[in-house]
Amino acid sequence: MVRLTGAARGGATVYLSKKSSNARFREAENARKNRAEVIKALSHGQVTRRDLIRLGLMTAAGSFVLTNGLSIYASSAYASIPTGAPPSPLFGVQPFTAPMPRFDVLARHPEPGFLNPAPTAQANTTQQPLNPALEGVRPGDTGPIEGRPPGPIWAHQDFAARPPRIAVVASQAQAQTNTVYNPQVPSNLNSGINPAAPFPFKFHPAFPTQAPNSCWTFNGTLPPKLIQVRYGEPVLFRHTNRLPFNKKQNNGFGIHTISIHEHNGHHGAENDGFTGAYFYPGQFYDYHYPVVLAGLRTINPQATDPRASSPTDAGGIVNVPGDFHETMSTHWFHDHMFSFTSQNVYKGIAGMFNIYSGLDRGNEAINDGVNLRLPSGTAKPWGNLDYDVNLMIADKAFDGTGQLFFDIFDFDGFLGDVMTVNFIFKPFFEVERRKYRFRILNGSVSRFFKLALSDGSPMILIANDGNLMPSPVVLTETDEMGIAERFDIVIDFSRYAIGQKVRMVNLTEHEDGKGPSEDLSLAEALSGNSQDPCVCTFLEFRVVRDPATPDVSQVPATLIPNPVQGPVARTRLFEFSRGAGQTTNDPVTTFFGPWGIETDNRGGTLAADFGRISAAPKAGTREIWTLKNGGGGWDHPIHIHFEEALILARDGSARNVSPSEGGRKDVFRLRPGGTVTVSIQFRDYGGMFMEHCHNTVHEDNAMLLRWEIDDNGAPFVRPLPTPIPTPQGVKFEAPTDILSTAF
Amino acid sequence: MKTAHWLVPAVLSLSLGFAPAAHAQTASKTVPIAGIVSGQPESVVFGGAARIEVTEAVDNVSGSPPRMVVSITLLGMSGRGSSTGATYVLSGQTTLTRRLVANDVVEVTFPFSVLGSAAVAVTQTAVASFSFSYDATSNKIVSANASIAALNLPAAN
Repeated sequence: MVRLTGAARGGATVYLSKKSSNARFREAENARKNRAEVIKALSHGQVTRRDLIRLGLMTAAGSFVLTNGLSIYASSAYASIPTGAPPSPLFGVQPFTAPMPRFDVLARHPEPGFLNPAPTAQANTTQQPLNPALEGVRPGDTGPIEGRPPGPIWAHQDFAARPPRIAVVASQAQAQTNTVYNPQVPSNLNSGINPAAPFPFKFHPAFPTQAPNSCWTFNGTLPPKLIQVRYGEPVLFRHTNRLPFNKKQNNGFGIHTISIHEHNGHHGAENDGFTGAYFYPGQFYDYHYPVVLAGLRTINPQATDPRASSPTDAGGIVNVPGDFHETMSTHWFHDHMFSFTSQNVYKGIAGMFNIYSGLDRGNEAINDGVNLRLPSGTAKPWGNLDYDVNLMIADKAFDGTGQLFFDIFDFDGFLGDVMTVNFIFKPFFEVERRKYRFRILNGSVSRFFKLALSDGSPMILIANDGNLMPSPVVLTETDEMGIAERFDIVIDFSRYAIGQKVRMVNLTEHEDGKGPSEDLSLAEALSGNSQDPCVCTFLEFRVVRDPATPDVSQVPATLIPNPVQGPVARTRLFEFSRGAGQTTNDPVTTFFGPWGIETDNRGGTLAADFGRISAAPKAGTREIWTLKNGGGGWDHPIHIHFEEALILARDGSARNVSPSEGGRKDVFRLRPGGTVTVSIQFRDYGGMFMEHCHNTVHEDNAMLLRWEIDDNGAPFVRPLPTPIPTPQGVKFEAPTDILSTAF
Repeated sequence: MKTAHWLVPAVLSLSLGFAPAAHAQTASKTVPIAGIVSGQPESVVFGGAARIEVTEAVDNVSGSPPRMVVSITLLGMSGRGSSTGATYVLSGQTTLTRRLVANDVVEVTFPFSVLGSAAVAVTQTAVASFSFSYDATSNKIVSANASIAALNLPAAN
């Protein structure tokens, strides 16, 4: 059966068909240049988003005249507004002609003794001269070397009890060639890539090299970076901002102030990458990750349960306090700069973060009754990556010269037209005839995926959002995968013969950034009839040999049961909608956009203000939160920071919860017009956290709120003052607003 | 999930200050589903039921084409191997976003295996086809039928 999809059925798509006329391509290219000017002006601070809304630039009726002499949405001879964008150039490159690189593992250094200056509990406010190219800086000004807000409130909460034992360092830097690639696996397990060869900053070897300011990644290089940690071993991640001092040096999009969120890390808010705790070029920020199990102060505090444990270098385990049911495995870390997250993450400020435990050891051979022996490898006592592979899937777009391009069609979202895995255009990956674990991250801005194998054969979902499921779920098509969600999937390639190939396919079609327009059948997706260029096969597995040693990995019938949670203290309702109002106007903490959140049915839908406290659950309690999609036709993947939650119901019924969502999660797809009811606890640490849509265009356009843990003032003040970063230092101001139902 | 499902209504009814959010109306229909999944090592004759649920999602802001959320749940599907007589099970639940149309055909793949197989031993796939008519005015699934067969795919492009 051939079934027409997308534009073939009359729907519009954001990218023009390759069959479009040259005249239409020219028109679309002009419109795209104009939109690029808008983004550039916005990122340079020459216009505000409020200006754009007032001028109608973000609507199809926009008529602002730009230097190209055309409206952002060029008047179209084809009566289609917006006109769509020209397809990204592929320079004659065919899919599956470049190997997919493994992540580049950041080195772990023993601490204390490695970092200089030594990390401190409170922010290091040693002064340094400031570069006058920074905005608001006069010659002779000085500012602190660390961008973390100063003082006791933003001091590392567990620094004395859990001082850092491992240091990991990375810079945020302009695109450059990697000469120190460390995949932690031999070349024959990395599709033949020679790690000693320079790794240029290209999305395919035959694509143009990215200009220094087209992409900003950790250390400025590809492949994307991986941090490996284990429970009970506190890590100090020193992140240095080496982006250009002049904010106009961004190749048209992205902003040079940054804040790194360790996505769903369980640690104090000072390490959470709060959207308002950003720092400037020339500064560093010390993130202290204690790497603890949630509930450590009340559950298994004496560390007597071996299931709550961490691997040792000798191949054993050491017990740690906390609830083993809260063991986490696959995180990622990314920029969370207020109102610029979409641009900065898209530009490359994203990496992944594997957490190892006694249960999820990263060694498949150790049989001690605790280790689940998931596919990984055997050479090292823990953290083997031989058969444990991180995949960052993302759609990208390129301008006519092949440089990374960020477009705005409207506030609905951004879609690329080129599928990448680990920043490489439709790569191949060589595998052995055995089981592999793939830690898959949706690293897109606005695109959802629904994944399948091209032969329709089964996969085993073992973790959702980095949390091992109570039981594995065998499936042939994943759930729709929202932005920032992680699916850990085991694929057994022993069913294939050497020389066979099988590909990963995306079944979810988009027409715009609102959310999926349609999930196609596997046959429809493979037919090539979709007008969405990202409905396609995008990663080819090539079965190249038998494993040198027998595959001893397992997928046990029981992984990690869900935690038993305490009594419910209260409920809250958050409704995510368009049509936000703005009740505060602080120039730093507020951001106006069409999206917003209403809390507890009071006060209307509010645009983002990181100075506003919308909720303040009490420390040590459990609450039931209902997340409601206030609109009909779009989707929102909602992320709640700090502790993962259990989904109790969808649309009011537990029956509607997918088996794939049966474990702990930190991103909740609301679905069009839907609601999700979750149970979440607030334990161990305090401070200010966030809740937001992870369609980062929605997030940046005001679908974000701040909540904080109310500990009745001990050890914090109540409510918390809001940090206001400047190059000269972080100031504090009182909250701009506290919702009546917050505390 | 350790949180017992019977607790959910109780938890939700705590409602400290507000009622649970209103939900879009869902139309539901349960239909028989049967078919032969031919293939190796043996063909399997399946029978059972499937519940189709349609929830309309109208974009009330932008005027975009409305969509519907279609949920498919296989209920009590079992099969018998044509040569061994072994019992096979096929279960699953999937939720799809679809454009709102009066008549839709949805194809979904599901894994199946011999009863009692471990997760790693599940290697076979069937495709279930659902054809249904949805009346948005009355919010009803007017008619529906379903079948199951072996997967027959075009070459990957």
